[in-house]
Amino acid sequence: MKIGLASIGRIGAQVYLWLIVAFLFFPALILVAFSFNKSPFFALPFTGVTLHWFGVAFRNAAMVAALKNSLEVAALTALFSTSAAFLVAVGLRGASPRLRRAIDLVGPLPLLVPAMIWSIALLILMTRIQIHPSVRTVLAGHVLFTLPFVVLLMTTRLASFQREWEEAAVSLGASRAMFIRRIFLKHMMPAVIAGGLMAFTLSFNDFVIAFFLTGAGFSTLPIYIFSLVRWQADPSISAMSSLVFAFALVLVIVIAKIQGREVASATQSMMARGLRGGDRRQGSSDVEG
Amino acid sequence: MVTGSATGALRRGLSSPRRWGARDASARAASMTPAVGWYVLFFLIPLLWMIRVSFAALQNFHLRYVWSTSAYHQLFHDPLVGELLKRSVILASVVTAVTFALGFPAAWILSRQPANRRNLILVLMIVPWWSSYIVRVFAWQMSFGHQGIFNEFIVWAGLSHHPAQLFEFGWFGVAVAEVNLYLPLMIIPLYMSLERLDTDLLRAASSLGAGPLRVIRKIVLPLASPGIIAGVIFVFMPMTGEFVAPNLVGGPGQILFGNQIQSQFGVTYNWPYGSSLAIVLLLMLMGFLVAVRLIGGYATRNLRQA
Amino acid sequence: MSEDGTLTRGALLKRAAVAGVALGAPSLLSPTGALGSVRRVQRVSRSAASSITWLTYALYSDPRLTKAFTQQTGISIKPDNYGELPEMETKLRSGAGDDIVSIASNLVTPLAQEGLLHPIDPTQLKNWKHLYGQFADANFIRYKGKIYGVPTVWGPEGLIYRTDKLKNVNSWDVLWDPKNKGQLSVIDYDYEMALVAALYLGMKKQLEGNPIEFSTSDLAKIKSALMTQIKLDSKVWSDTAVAEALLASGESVATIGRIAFLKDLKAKNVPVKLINPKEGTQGWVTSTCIVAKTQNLAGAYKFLDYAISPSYGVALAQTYGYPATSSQVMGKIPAAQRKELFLNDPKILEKMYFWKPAPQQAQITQMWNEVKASA
Repeated sequence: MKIGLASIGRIGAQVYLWLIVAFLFFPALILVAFSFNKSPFFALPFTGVTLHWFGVAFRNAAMVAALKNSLEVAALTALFSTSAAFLVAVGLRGASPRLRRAIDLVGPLPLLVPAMIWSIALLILMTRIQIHPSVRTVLAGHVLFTLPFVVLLMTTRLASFQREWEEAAVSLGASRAMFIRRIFLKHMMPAVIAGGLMAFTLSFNDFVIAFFLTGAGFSTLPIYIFSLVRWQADPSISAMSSLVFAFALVLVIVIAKIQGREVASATQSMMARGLRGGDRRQGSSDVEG
Repeated sequence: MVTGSATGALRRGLSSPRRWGARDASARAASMTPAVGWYVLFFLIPLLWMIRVSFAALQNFHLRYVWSTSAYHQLFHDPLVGELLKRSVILASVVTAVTFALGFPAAWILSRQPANRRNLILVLMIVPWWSSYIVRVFAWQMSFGHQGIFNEFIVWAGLSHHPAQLFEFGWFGVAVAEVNLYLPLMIIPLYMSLERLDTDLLRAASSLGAGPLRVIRKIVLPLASPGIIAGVIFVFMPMTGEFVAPNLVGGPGQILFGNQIQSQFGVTYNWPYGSSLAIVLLLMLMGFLVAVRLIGGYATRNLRQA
Repeated sequence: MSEDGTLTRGALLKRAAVAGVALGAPSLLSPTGALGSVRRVQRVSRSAASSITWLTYALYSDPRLTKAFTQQTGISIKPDNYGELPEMETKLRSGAGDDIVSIASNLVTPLAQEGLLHPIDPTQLKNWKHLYGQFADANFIRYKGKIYGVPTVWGPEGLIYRTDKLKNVNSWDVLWDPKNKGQLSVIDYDYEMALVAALYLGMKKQLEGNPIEFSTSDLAKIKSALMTQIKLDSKVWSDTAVAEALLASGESVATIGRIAFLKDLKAKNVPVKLINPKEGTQGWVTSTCIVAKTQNLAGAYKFLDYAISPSYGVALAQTYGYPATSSQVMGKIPAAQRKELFLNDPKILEKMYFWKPAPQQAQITQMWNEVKASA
């Protein structure tokens, strides 16, 4: 009897999880489906299958250029944002609760102010001091926007960091730099990877910030799509988006494979499982609250 | 238990103030500089400037850098402001509650999966984000409406004779779209903190006689609280500024505070007023942040002690 | 912004040039392959010949329409696209480094007033003389006696309806007809909807002036009319794709109509008709203007001339279905297409109320937000 209930529970749990995944995929599936639709509207009914819109999308040099720009800004954002956030985690090891609290209070501030507002504020200020919109200004806005997320991921992950590991490593003769590189980084790796992916994604998707901070011929994909759809009913946009989506799927799976290995080796190189019993006593030192 | 005493020995033998953590205060400061510097240059200073602009005035369609409270005066006398702010807060609360209700079980189940499947599913959750935000909103726009995908489906499948009111352009559609857009932002921090929850711990606790409710209160919630706080913050705060999805997926009545701010920075060119609206929203959100932290900290401490 | 006048133009231009070079500088991700060569070609053309940056809708800067210009003059066009007028204005005010800008007729005079536009000498444009009188002599491109925009393309914002669902529509009152509740939609543009209500209410005198002045009681009447109307709408749309989808699916039996819709909907065999209601039709004119802070004035002039030449205008009409402002261009469009473009009657221009600045814009925005909140 008990086994039956447990298996049903387990299957139910699996089904629920996959339902959530399906829900998250729903809009992407819609746009993929419509990029094959013959009908030139974002509407039903389906009138037939065609690859025509993919051709139209790729022949549009402006769209391809915008896509390339978006990828570039997103990669740079992920790099800068994750590095800066990781350094924050490095600095927060063994920090006083007061410092942590300060970080927790100040960190999320770029999320408080609607992105539209501080991007305009940034733009107005830049106008005042005569700095022109360029790749660098979009980058400034995107790193600012993604830093709170990545730092929050880092501090959440940091909460499970055990001081004993560092103390042991240092007493065994490791320099701090080596410790950070080998053991601390390995522990933080899930947050680093998740943070990098999150930063890339947020930057790539963004259009509000990028709009106000781009200019002079430099456009990103979301802005280009937005301006195009105002005046056209053209599924080549969804064709391009579904290609981007497929490319992203491949890329993220590759990264996850690498991350999978990292996470496994990090777990193995950590100290004996028994040290995790220290979890219960964690409340006094590293967990915020 | 053997390893328990090994921990104790390690602790006793090695506790010394500077054996762990940053070498000294300056090393710590150096490490924080890139992030802090970025904030000061690209966030704090422009924000201060925006406060300045909110005390400027619009004269003859020109922005004049005088000192005037006309923008705030307008704000406090406009009934629309309060109404739209209320709507934005309600929508943000609903979306936060729903994403939590859906996301917590998902994060829990996910954290119990074997490592390989866990990574796969995490990947699958992040990938939809990679389709452009605008186009995902368009997909929801296509889904709702009198003859949107959902209504066409239920009529075609014989589930209903006419299109359902629920699936028309309205608050339900906007809420569903926003939940879809923000759900990953709730699941990931929840997962990050639930992931380090040891199943052995839970099993040990229940084998020692603790009922499921007690286990949740004393072990799960305190450990998950950083993730819960992070998830709530990630969803509620950006949601109050939303203006794109309500405009595209909603009907005529789905206008929110974000729309009102945005319309000040367009043809109207009323930057002082727009800035004052933004400052008011900012203050409200800062109050919210403080409140969430206080409540979260209080709950965690109380749960642990009782 | 006017206070920027205190800083020298030279310093600004120098910085704009530096920013332009910085854009071309190698990035951390050096792309290779086809995408990389696109970037490399752009860099070469910027340093070899010259280029002008055009702040405009993506549609106008479609490479298919502009490549003839580059072939003729060797100057390349760098599009800086915007989706909405507020975005364009913000970029213009912040000095994003554009040379020319496409501006709707209701914004040329105010932006010229702000000092953001460069005056245009029509004698330097050989195609100026072919413009229809209504455009060349229009008051909405002028400020203090000088011309600040070259009308390039225009379009009526009329009423479009499904001929299989409604019969003999000839008036704006179809949008106020309670029989159509839940089957209507309107555009989410405060200024345009104010004009629709003004036409419906018969406020012709106000619409003829430049600027368009509404009194407080006018605005109150407009607001009341719009609040009645909004309750009949199932959607307010900002995108062509959405408007066409609403009409194609029949969710909307009538809405605000543009010529661009006709082309797409007819191709899909959706039975629609675009009409000029008896109360009058509003319309927009997009003028191509020179940004005050441009660093390529000569190139800008060459482009203005190109924009009102058949090379651009005919291609624009054939690709996107927009009528041109020049009789020379209209003459070169095939007769069948001219008919489809709703324009075989040159007198139509006389029945149009073109968009002009409205000093009550702030109140109109506020009013529209209130109207939507009441829906």
